[in-house]
Amino acid sequence: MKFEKAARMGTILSKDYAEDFFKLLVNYQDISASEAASRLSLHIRTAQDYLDNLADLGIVNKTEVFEKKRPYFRYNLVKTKLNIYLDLSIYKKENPGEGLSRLIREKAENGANFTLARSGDEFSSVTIWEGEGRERQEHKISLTSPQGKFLFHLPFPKSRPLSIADILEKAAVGKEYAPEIQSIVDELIRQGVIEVMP
Amino acid sequence: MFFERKTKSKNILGQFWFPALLLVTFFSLFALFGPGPAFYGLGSLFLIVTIYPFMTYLRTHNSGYLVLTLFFITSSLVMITAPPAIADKRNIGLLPLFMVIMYVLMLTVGFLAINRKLRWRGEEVFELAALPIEDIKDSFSARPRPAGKVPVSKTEMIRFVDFITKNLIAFAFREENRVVFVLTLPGNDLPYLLGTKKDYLNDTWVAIDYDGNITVNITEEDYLLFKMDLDFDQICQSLGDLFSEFLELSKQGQESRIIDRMNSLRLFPLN
Repeated sequence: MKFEKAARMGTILSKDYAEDFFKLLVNYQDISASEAASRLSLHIRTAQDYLDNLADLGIVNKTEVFEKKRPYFRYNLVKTKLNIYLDLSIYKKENPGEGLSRLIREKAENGANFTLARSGDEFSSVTIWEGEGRERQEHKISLTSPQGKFLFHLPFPKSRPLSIADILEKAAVGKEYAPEIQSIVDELIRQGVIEVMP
Repeated sequence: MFFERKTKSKNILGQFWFPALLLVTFFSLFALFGPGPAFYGLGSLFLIVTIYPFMTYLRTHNSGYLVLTLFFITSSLVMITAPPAIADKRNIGLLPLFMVIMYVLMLTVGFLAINRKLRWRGEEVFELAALPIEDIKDSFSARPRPAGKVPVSKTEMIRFVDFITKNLIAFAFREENRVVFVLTLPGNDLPYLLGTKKDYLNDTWVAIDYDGNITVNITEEDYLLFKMDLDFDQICQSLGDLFSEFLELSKQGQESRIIDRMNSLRLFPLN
């Protein structure tokens, strides 16, 4: 299941009238938005949107019917079992390709401020200024210990870039931390603090 | 040793503010109140100024600053005992003795000053670190950099810290797991000596932990002391290497070679 779909399902299930809505749907052969709204004391628009969302997710079937010549929709439940399944491991950073072999170094004049940890051999946070003019605001990113050690060994601007794997080795940070290292590297690349060299 | 200086020279006129202050004080008081108050005023000024070399001596154990302290005290005594002797030559008292001591100390202080033994040697350390460095634009970064490792025991570290402090090479901050050497330029030492500045994070420093890891931090202000845009990565590494070399020499009991290296630069004593 895609994250977006799971999030929509979560939103639908989190409504305080959701359980009552599903009780109606289970027991009715089909139901219109106005019928559901009147039973649950909801605004017809709320019931309509809720049923349309369920239809989009394939939980109910939406059928157009006519009362005399006036068309409207009736909904019937098609799924009596709902599963939300997410595989979070797909977000784990991949090492090959665009991963640990990337040559990186600090970008010149990036405006970031690195705060030294008490131990003196790693950073505890990096502060970046985001936005322009009045909208400019400070964004402080707290670092995990492996991230702090990694950034402590990041090559300076204009110096010879190193691959992420080499910096990990220099900083004595285990490969098992590579995903969280790549996460902070990607964020700092996005913020213009780190540059990737060809 | 012939070399091209890489740090900017300071304005030499800045060195003469203290003698100028003494002269202005003396002649102003002389003109307004006569010789007695002028001598007493100057004597009081000497006594107040004594705090600075005395604090430096207490914190560094640099014998030159003990001599300077004694010089200021005897100068003060001369100024305070002079007015009665000027008024009546029979009241000469200990003035001749104080004057002899003052002149001897003055010559000693002059000798020490010419040999740069009364100046913080941060400038020479920068100069030595910058010797092999190429220039490159936009390479500065306001973050510390690891600069290698040197094997060191706690005893060797204590000896090294004593040497570095006593010879005014850097101001040492002892921390739980490391020692931080703050490179002090002449004139920037007062806040540390008076204890008003206890945080070195905004200064240039070299830290060596008890595992021997060296970390270097150079501030933008100090980086701008160099005449050209030196490769920042290289200058940090070079500064770390320099301290590693100093530590090795200290471990071998060859501390005099460290001083020789700095003296070989032959920087102008008043610069």
